[in-house]
Amino acid sequence: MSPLADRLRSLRWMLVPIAAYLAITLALPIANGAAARQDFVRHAAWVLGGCVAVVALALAGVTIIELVRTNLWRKR
Amino acid sequence: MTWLREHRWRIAAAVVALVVVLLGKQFYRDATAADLRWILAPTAQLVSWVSGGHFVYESGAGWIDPHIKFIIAPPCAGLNFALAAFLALALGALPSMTTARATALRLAGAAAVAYVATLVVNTTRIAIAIAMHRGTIDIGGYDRAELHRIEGIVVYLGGLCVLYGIARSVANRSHHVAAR
Repeated sequence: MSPLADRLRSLRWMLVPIAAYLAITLALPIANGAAARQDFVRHAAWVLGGCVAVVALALAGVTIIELVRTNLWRKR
Repeated sequence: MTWLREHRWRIAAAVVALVVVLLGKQFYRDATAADLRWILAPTAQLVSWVSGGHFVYESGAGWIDPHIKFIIAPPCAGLNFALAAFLALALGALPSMTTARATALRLAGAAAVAYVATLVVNTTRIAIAIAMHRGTIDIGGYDRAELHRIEGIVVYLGGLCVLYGIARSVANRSHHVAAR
């Protein structure tokens, strides 16, 4: 498996909080008819963009930690 | 049949969590500042401490600091975060819900942790919003309302992931301790 896939696997736990957040901020409002509102589409775009940004940040964090650990191990 | 029997407490917990979320959303839609006093009052107090402001209750509006011209109104209560946190914590604890007692304890724990986390995360979000409003954080020529929205999404989503990560590692640690 590729290193990226490994890192993504290690972040699988983030699916639960992100899914809960999306359920509250998007799924339930859509079920209540909010999708027809112009401002909701904008809100949804920001929410989805936020999810991508948080996962990207976490991925960057995991990569940095991995690099630091690998370098420390090599030095020893 | 055996599967249902084995997972009955998990299914019950998932149903309870979903019902709480649906009722919470319904309640939040029409809630006034007075209805949300249980969460807005401690939030306003914490924000006053953190930001050095002085928020006072104004009937019908919420908590207001007239000096900095900032209001903590019902939409700022963070109830959506509280519901998302409760749902995430309850779903995350499903594997350990094997008896009625364990299920009740974990659901109650999820509710209590979600409440405290909401106070902390929402205070952070409002304190940052106040700093942007005061000009302590330079936002340049960007649209204030839009930045407030983005800030909310980043703080809430980040806070939710951090909260879940902490809960997960605490649960893993106690599981290891119990296994020894």
